[in-house]
Amino acid sequence: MLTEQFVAAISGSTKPNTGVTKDQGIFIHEFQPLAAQRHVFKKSATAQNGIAVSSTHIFAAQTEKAIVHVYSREKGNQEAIVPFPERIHSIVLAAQDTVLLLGAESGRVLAWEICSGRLVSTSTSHLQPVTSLVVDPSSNFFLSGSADAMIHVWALPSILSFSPDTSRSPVHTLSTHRGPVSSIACGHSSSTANIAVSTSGDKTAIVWDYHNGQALRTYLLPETPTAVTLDPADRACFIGYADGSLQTIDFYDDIQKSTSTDVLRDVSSSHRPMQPSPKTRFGAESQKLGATLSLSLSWDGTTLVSGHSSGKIASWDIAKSNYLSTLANLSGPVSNLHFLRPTGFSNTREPTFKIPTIVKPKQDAGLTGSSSGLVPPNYNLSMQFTGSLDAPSVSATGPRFAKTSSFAEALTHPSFPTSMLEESLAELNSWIAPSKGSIVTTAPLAAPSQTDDVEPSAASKDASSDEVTELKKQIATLKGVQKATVDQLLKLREEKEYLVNKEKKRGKAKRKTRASNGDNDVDMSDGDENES
Amino acid sequence: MAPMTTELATLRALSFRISSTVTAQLPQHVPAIAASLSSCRTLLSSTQTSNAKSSSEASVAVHKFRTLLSTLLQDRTVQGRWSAIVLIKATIEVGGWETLQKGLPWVRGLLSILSKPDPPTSKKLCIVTLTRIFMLTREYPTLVREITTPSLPAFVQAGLQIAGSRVPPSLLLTILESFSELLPRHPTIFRPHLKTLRPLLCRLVAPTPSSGLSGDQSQDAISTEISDAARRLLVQLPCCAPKGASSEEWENALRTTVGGVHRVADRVFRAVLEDWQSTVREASANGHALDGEVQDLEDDYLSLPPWSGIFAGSERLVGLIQLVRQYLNSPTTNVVTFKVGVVMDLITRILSLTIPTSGSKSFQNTVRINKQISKEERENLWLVMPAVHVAAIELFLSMARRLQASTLAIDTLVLDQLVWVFGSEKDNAQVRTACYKALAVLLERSGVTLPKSSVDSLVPLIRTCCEDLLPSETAPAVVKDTPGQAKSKGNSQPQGSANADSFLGSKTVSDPTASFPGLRDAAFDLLPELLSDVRAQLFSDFLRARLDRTAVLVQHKDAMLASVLNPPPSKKFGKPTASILPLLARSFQGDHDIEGIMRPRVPVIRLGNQDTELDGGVEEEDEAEVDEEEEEDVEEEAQADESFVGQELDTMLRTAGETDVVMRDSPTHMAAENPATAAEAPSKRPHAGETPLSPAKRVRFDEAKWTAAPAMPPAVSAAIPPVEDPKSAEIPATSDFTVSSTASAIPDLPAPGEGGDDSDDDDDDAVPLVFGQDSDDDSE
Repeated sequence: MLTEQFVAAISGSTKPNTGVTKDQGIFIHEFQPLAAQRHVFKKSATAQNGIAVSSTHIFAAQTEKAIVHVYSREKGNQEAIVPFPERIHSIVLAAQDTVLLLGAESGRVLAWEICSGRLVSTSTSHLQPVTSLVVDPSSNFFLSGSADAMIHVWALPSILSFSPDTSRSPVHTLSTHRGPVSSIACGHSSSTANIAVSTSGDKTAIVWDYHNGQALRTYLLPETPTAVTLDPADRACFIGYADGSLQTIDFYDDIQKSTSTDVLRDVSSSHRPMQPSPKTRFGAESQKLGATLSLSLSWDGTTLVSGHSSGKIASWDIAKSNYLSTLANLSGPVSNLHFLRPTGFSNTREPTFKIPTIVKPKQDAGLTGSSSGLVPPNYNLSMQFTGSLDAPSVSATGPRFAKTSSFAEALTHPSFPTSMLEESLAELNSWIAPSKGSIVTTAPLAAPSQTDDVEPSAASKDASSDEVTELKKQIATLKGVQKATVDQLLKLREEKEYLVNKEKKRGKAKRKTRASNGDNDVDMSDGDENES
Repeated sequence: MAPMTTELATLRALSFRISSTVTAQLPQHVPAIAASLSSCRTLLSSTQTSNAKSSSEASVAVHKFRTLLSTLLQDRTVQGRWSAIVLIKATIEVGGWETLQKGLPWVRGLLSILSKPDPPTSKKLCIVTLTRIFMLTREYPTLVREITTPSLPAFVQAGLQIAGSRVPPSLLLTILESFSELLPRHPTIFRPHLKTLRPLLCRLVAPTPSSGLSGDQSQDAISTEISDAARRLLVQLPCCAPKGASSEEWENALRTTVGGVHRVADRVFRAVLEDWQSTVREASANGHALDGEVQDLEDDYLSLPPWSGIFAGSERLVGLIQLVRQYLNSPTTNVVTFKVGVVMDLITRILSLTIPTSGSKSFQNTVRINKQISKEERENLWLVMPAVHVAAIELFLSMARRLQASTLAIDTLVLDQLVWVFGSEKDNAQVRTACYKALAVLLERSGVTLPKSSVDSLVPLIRTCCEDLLPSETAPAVVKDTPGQAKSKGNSQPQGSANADSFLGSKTVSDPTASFPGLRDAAFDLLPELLSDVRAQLFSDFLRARLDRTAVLVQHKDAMLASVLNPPPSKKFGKPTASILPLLARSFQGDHDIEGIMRPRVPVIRLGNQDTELDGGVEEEDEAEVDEEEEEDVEEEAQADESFVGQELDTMLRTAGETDVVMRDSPTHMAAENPATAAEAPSKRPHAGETPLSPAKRVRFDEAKWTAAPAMPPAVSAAIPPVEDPKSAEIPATSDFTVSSTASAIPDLPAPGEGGDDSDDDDDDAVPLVFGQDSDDDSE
């Protein structure tokens, strides 16, 4: 069964007398099948975009402080407090949760490899603190938004590269916004056709083709947006406002219906701002939710969950655009919401490594990059390797897939693989134990010897007897018997030859002795002659 | 109880068959018996303590069967014991805890077989069976205590004894594989035996069959399978370290192995002066033993057997690199510190020594030669280098596969080295295969961010990849194409070298890559990565055309798909670029991937628009979409006069929205309007829809709204009644659609079907257009 959870974090406790412990800061809440709080991490207060969740850890950038708290999800405790040279305003995980990107106060982005402790920095391209960070699904690019109204697009591999001549400046700069960027959401495609949506204090939301640095469409919003999230299929985005209401912006709206081209990518219309229909806005005033601070979408894309300044987490039905329920009422403004990937899929691929503990950043270990462009000798990764890899060796002549070894196959087979049994049977048949006689060969011999006995007797009867009819009958039956036995004999010989030939082909098994060859019948010695 | 009865009958029949057959002939029957045993699963795995009558019968049958097997196991004949082994394996596979729990006598019997002079294959089966028993008991601590722990030491002892003597390779292989299966789970039991095990493995991990030493052990050929299994077992040995020290032991073992590789490389590479400078270890003075043959007679470093001669040295080198690789392929029990820097240093060293090309490319020709070493040895070194390079690339592949994206930082570094090696050794099929595989991995991970310079350096590699997939028919001519011949430009083949056969039917010329399926597969896998993961702008037109042509001609669906999804940028302004979409559609008709591209379904799903979402059937609409389109026309008419009020309202809203957008084009207007919107918003929150309407429309709208209903979404209340009327099963989806379609289709009545048949229109438009383009392109 699937279990779907989300992580919520608050930006400081504001309700003193709610009965819960005061220092709770991060909450793991089960969404399905049973909505309930599952785990709590303490002593954390995070601003918006201040939480990053991996399969093993939770990272929380503390408000008004230059530290990041690291919590271990497995142990359920605080694992480390990591200090940084300046305040961190936003964090996000990249590269399969092995790199933590941190948006710093000075306007640069730091990249911390949590397995190695290497810490590299981008150029200080933003003029104000980096308040939002998103990574694209391929982990090749990340976007940073700042209060200076700029969005920079960076290439992660060149930021991480050891080579001294790679640029640590942005690939593109998206500068259409005229107000501080409040939040960014990145599309779900790994290809170059991916989009990103940003919202800004100038009451606009812009859809970007960040690979080319183009604005695709501008939406004029009724109010100042605070949070944005994208549909799993990138069909629409959802925007939260300061009054607690939400709005759906459908990229495939009326205009799309009347044209056959993809309007979102129509360059000719990109300069024309659009105003989404006011009907798409919805809220629940009676719930007294307060400003929307964070948004997250469930795995199936049908339920929107919003965190509010009152501490409430509300869920909304997207299709009906209405309020469903209040999932939780936390003790402070819910600044971060993250849905986790559901667990419990039947055939999940095991990751190739696990990071039970993080390595704190080493500021001065000479890991940032070497003049030669080579990997520094003290660049180490601390991780546990899980599962064995079946990495077939490179072969120009071999097949594409390496076959599993016969041992592994036999180990899990209901009895033994046929090939193994046949090989063994063949050896068994020709096996003559050093001490014992030829037990093997006597058994097939029984049949021919019987036929030899029968034949002369039949002939004699034929000569001597008077009652022809009875004898003829007898002869008929006996001939039948004879034929059957001869057939059997032939078959046995064939089988024998076949097995012996096969044995010869294998050529692996060794005979230990030739001593008792004399005991064998003609077949056997024939076979042996063939072999030798 | 019925299945139980059947099983009981089966088991009885099987028991009878076993007991009634002469032991000598039993092996022929055993495969069949073992196969039918699997149908007695419930019976064999059920507990025999229940008191029902049938179950007592069952327990008698099961007991009889077990006793039969135990007797067979003690049989005097080889055949009897062989049968017992196979049957026991089949029984424990289905028997579950019940059978295992009574399995101790069997384990003892099986162990005794290992010391008897039975045929090697029957010992092999015996080892497999024992391993399986030990594995199956893992889940039950009591059984581990009762069965595994007491018998495992005897098993290890027996296994080592067999492996120590001269045995057939297949039996040795089985023992090694069995040990590597068991060792990580039972480190303490194996610990006392490490002293025997380690020398045994050291003999096997890096064999040097072409060693010039005819000394102590003219050992039998060690197959790759065995050395592979030995390496797998050797890297698991650190598990046996005392508690807590296993990580350290693992790291030490890896470091020693890497050191061993360097040590061998120092000797093997002595014919050249390497440019490489280690970042890790101080360069060893290359001054040892420059006279005589290259050899290592006392390897006390890894305690491996000695070797002599450059070929043996390269075999040792490759074996040790594969051992390093095995450290990455095997799981570890704890967190380990993997020294990427050290391993990368090793890879860099090996890949930076390339064979000098005799051509004019002088920059590759910079290998400094050690004059003290004979020319023969140097040329032998060039002979063995490709194999060493392949091993190094394999090591990188394992690293990439294990560390996944955490090696993002070193990818560009490796890319340069790959290009370097490929440049000088591309004639070797193994090197090509390895380079293709490594490049595919690199591109998949970070191909999109590659700069133009890197992509340009890949061009020779890409060309060769196409060539390998699709050998050009004039390939032999190209090879012979000397500059002098190019001038004469004709069929002036030198008469002396003319092959008479070549004038005859050349249709049956065999595909040169036919004998290299691995190479072909690697190139085949690389092609889609090239087309999808490298930015299309970075390829020249010619190269792109070459890639596309290769993809089309080898009918490579993934590559063609990648080409369509990653189209080249249009060079001529305003003209769309040629796409191979029509060819894709022709080649793979009816394929789902192609269907998805040509007739996309996405835009039909509409979210958040209050018109469409009356019943929340957003997701269902996706599937039911095709049917809905067909029904649309009918439904449209039916609904036209029913949902009257709602439509009018919707139509008004639509027109209002449209005029509004046009008005908003002028920013000044927007600025003027915004305060009004903001001011109005709080008061009208529940019906937030109407705020940005133009004044005239707003009045009308408001009127309409007040008359319609006071309920929240006015359109909803108006439209629901007609929807609920028909009660058929498919109504939720269709009604949902019709409500939206009436809203959108009414104004479009002059051109009916335009909105609904959206995707079909799209398709019709696209195909001729692209077709024209494509033929255009061909003619160029």
